[in-house]
Amino acid sequence: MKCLWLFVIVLCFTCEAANKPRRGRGSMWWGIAKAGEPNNLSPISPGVLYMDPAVHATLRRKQRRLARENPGVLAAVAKGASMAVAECQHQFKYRRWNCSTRNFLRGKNLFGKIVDRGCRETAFIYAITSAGVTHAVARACAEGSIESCTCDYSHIDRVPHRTRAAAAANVRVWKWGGCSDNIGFGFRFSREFVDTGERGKTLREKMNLHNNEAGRAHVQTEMRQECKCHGMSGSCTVKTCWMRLPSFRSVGDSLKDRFDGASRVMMPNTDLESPSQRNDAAPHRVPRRDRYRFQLRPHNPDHKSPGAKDLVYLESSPGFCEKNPRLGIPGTHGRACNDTSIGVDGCDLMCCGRGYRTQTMYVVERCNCTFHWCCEVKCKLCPTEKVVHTCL
Amino acid sequence: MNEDEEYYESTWTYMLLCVEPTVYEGFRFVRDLLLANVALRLMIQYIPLPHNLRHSLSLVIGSFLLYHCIGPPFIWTVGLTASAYILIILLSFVTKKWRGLVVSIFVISFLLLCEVHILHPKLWQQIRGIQMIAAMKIISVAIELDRDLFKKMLNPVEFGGYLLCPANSVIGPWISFHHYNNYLEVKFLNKRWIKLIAVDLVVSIFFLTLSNCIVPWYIDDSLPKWLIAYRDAQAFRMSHYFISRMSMLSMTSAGFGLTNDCRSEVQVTKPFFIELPRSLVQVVIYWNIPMHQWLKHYVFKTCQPYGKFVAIFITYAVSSLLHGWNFQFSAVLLSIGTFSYVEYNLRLKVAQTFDVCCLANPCGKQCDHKYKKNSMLAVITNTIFSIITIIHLAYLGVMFEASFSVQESGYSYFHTISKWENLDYFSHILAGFLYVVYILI
Repeated sequence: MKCLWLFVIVLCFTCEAANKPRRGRGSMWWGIAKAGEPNNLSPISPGVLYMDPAVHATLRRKQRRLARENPGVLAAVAKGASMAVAECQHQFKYRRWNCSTRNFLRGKNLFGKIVDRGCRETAFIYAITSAGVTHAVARACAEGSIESCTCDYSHIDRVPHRTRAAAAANVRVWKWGGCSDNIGFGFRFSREFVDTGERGKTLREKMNLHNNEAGRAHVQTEMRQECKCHGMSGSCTVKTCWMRLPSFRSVGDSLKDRFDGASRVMMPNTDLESPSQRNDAAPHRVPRRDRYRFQLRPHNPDHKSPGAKDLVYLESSPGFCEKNPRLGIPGTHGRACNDTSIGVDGCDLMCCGRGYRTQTMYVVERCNCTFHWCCEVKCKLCPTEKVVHTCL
Repeated sequence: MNEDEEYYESTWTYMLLCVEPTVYEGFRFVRDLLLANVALRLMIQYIPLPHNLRHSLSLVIGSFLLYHCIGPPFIWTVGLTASAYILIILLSFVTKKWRGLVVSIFVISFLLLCEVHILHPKLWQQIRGIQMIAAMKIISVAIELDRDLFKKMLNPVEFGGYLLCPANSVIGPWISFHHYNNYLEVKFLNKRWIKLIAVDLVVSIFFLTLSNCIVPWYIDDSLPKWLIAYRDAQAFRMSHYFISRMSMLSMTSAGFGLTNDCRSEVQVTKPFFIELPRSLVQVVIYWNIPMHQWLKHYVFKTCQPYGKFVAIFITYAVSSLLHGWNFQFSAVLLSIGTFSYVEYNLRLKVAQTFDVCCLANPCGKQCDHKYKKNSMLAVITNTIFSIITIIHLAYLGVMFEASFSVQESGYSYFHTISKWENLDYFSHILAGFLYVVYILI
């Protein structure tokens, strides 16, 4: 009997041990978003990054290697991560869960324990951070601040004959000039760096991988190659192509849309058993390419299976009304709300029916702004009265 | 503050991502042109060559350049050249008077056949400009033969050298055979030559950047549709200035179009007269000066004996057919024709009625109107007409702004109509209204 109890307890512990830390494994690097704040990125030598050892400690070994191999990339990652946090907070400004971050040190996650649950919010966090890294690295690459991603001009001159033949055969293989590979670098790097901890074995890891990929896909599809013809009277003797990086705000907007329509998924039965068993028997790595090759099944069989750009989640979100230390939810106490709105930002919904307090405050705002050609905006400072409602 | 920073940063990134590849591809295109043309010039300059050898040098280098630019389809240009030459020779046995007409009809039908039946639209869009230049050269030679401007029949090398000359076979401009022949002589070159090339290079790349990156950026998509139309039309015009300047570059680098003291005497377009136009008539003239001259000398003047209206109509038909069998070009050119006709006559009448100096073309030295060009009334009238012209230009130029696949494979009827419908056919209505005003005055 005693033995059995012990066995049960041990089993429980191993369950805990096997499940709990894995959640945060691939996501501890988010802490890097805060690395820029106390002036940790030294501006003097952009290639070398002096980093708070605590932040550095949150990186996995492979991530540290990547940062070492690509000087300058860490600054971009940090920028991408903080951009992602800012965007997340902007998108969720008026919702009960407002994407708040907390002290990430001491082994805690930047976004708190909410990421331990496979809910919608977690899906969004994974997608936006992965998109942020892709965006920032691609941008840094184009700006030339990452040394290892130089513009490879050589490939353009190597293929002109094939291009011509293909153009005649109505195939679009036009390569744009200049740094055509920035985006490619951004994607590859994001996959390597962001997806490090996600081996794609468990359902939760598959969810993370899917959402990371979705974030990247949003950057990719909004990143357009634009071309233009030049020639005598509108003909097309000379083609010039370039590319357009979307603003991160538009990436955030479209991800927010996907958040609202995210699909709940479960694992297809066929895949569930065999790989995990094999892995248990012989701990071998899933080949890198293969870990993205999986199809998640919608929880409701009537729904469509999620596409590459959809966000997926596994369990319903917890209530965000009350403080819940176990899930790291601060609750909506003290949040500002809008007394006239009937939406989520309205006081009724935001305060979960607890009621709200109304205060009148005097704030100094910029006003009477005038635009001076070119390009300066001059404003006056005027004190204005503001009515603020806060949840009880 | 944060938003501002974000805005500047994303603008900067946009510029960087656009300007760098644009400039790079611009230079890549220039490089080939420059190499071919400078090679031609240096050989002519430093190796004493007999007449025919110089022409064949132009022929050979030009063929290489064409092949390098467009690949195997360059046989269409070569084929057009060869068949036109054979036709001219054959015709010379029969007639000495109708060669111009027959060759013109042949060349234009060749172009139309190419476009409609033979070539893939994308390919046609790519070589259309080249074929147009070749067609203009062939027709000019045929008509000059009729006018007996050649001492003797051109030999194949001269003809081929003229047609495929690297200085202007790819993006123009058109020059007459006599000019070409003169330019092939040894010239006095000095540092100015290099300077001219450098200036052309910088200016053309500047226009390219304007067209690709800056003009599309400075007016946002959320603004009223007329501003967007203005922007799109302006981007197209910048692209035209780029090509025109680039064609000057190719001429200069081959030592063509230079006076004896090494100054450029060829002018293709005048951006300032088009961006701040006095009248649509002037825009038509300054849009592509060599083409305008070509139409005037070889089409309009040839047809003048048959009456003014016939001459104008044939000029219109030829210029539109040279652009191919395409609704958009016919419609745009016809609109330009009518708009400028209405404008010209209205301004003439206004000038006569109110005695103001406000003709479509600025008065010469002596202006015999009561209100001179600096008088208040003249300035106001001219400004109003300028604004009308700018509106017309936006309305007409917006056609050429299209998704890349449309640009690449040619403009369809529906594309044209939808663009104009979007602007409510405003300019056509405006022109109709102005015509009524013209009748009423």
